[in-house]
Amino acid sequence: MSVDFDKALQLALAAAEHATNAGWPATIVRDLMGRCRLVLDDRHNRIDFPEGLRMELTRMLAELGNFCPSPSPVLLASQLLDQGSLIDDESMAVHAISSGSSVGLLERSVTGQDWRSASNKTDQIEKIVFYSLKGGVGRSTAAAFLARDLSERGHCVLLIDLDLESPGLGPMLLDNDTYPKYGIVDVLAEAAVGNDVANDAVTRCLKLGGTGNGETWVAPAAGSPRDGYTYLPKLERAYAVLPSTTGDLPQSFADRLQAVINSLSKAVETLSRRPSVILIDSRAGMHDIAGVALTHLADLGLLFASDTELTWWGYGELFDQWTERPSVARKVRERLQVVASMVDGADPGAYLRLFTDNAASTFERLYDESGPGDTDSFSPSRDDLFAPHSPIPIYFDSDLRHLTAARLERALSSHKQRGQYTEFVEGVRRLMGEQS
Amino acid sequence: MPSYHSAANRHLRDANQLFGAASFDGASHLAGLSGECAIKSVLCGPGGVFVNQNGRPNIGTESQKTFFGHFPDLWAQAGIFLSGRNINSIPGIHILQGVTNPFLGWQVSDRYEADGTVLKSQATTHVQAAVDLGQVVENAFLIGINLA
Repeated sequence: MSVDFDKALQLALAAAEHATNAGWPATIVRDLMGRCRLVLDDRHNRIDFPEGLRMELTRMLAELGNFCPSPSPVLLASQLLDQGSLIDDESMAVHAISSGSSVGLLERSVTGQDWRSASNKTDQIEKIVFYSLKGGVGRSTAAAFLARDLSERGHCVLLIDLDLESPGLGPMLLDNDTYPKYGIVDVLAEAAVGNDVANDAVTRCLKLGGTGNGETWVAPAAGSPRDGYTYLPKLERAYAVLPSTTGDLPQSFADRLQAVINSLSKAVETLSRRPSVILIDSRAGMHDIAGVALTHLADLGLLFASDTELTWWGYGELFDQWTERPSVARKVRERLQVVASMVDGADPGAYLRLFTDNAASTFERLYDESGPGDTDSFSPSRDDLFAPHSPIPIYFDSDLRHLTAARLERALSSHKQRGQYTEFVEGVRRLMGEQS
Repeated sequence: MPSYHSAANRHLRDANQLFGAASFDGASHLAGLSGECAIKSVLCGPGGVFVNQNGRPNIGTESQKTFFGHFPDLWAQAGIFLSGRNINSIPGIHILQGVTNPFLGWQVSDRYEADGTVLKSQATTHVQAAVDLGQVVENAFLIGINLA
C-alpha cells in the first residue's frame, strides 16, 4: 500500500518535529495536491544550515512517496522572497510535538482561507448568520419569523440572502413587482469594478413589516427577472479575490462580503434608517464560502441542526479546523449557538435531551479544559442552558414545508405556526440582550 | 526548452545587483526580462499555453502563431488570459488584473539605447514589479503548481 494523503501528513509531522528539535523550527506547507514541503525558519540562526540535516530530512520526506514534493522538499525561509508570511499566518494550524514545542501546518488549497481565520469579537449583536450543513432545514423560514418578530418590536431589520447557489429568500418573501432591480450577485459584480448599486438592491418587505415603527428590508440574491438580466455569469465571478483598491492587501472574499453588507446597510439608512439587526441567510455546507459567514461576518452564528450522525460529524470537522488554530477558536466559539430545527415526534423533550448530549460532545472540543477556580476559561457545563451547545428549538410543522410566498404570509399571521417559533425568537432575543 | 521559472529568479537576482551598483539601465532591462519570465512560467504551466518549436509561448495551435511577447503588452495579455480556480488560488496573481501596468514605458529594445536612458525612478518601479511577480511565482511553486 502506497502512502496516502493522511499518512503523508503524519510522516511530514515527524520530519518537522525532527527539524524543530534540532533547532530549525519547521512549518509544513501542504500544497494543492496534498504534497508536504518543509519550510525551516533560519532567520535567527547564526550558523549555516547543516547539509547532513538537509539530507536526513530529505530522506524522511522521501518516505511520503507520491506526496513528497519535487523539487526542493526542504526550503529555508531565507531563500524565499517573502520570509515572514509563511511563518506568521493566522490560518496556520498548530500541532504539538513531544518536546513541548509545536510545528505549523499551512494548507494551500483551491478554496479560500477565510474560514480558517476570524474577525474579532464584538460586544453588540448586530449581524446574525443562519448556517446549516444541509439545506432544507428551515433556515430561511426561521429568518422570516425572526425578522417579523423583531420588526414588530420596533427594529429596522435587514434580511440578506447569501445562499447564492440556491437562493430562497427572494422568491419566498417578494412578489415579482416588489423585487429590487439588483441582487447580491449584482452588488458583488458591480463593486468589483468600483460601481455601487446597493440602493437598488434592497426593498422593503411589507409582509414582514410588522406594526408601529418596525420595518424589514430584504436584499435578495438575484435582481428582478427581466429581459437581458443574467445571474450565472456573475455568480461565476462572485468569489474572486480582487486587487486592492488602496494599494495594500488584496480584497479577500470575506472583505468583499463585509463591504457588500456595509453598502446594503448604508442603502437602507439612506432610504429609511440604519438597520439595527442584519439577518444573513448563509450558504449551507462544509465550504469556505459558507464558513466565512461564521468566521468573518457573524456577531451571532445560529447553527441549524438535526440530531443525526451526519450533523455531528460535519460540525465536528468544522470545529476541528478552528481548534487547530487556537486564536480562531477563541474568537469564534462564543458567537455560536446551536438551533434544533424541525423538532418532531411524540416526545420532543426526550429528543432534545439526546440532542443536547450529542451537541455537547461536539462543541466541547472548542471549550477550554478548566480546573477549579479557573475563572478566565470558557468551559460551559453540559447542562448549562445558556451554553452554545444548548439547543434553541424550532418545532416541526408540515404546513411550513415548501412554503410559497402566499402560504408564508398566512403562516406568519397564524397563531399556531408562530407558536412553533416562540422559543426560537425568544432565545435569539435573549442572546441579543433584549427583554421579552 | 525554456525554463522560465529558473530564468525569472536569475534575472531578478542580477537586476537587484545592478540596481545596487546604480546601473539603472541594466537593472531595468533585467527586471523586465525577469517579470516576463515569471508570467510565462505561469502561462506555460497551469495556464496551458504551449511552448512551440521556436521556444515561444504559443496560444492555441502551432499554426495559429499567436505568441505572448514582451512588456508592456504582455502584462495585459496575461491578465486577460489567466482564468480558472487553480490560477486564481495563487496568492497575488490578481496583480495582473490591477489597473496599473508597472512596465508601461519599458521596452525590450531599450538595450540598444545610450547609457542613462532609464531613470533611477523608472528602474525602481521595474525592479519592484519584478520582485512582486517573483513573489507570485514563489507562491505558485509553494502551493504545488507546476511551473514552466
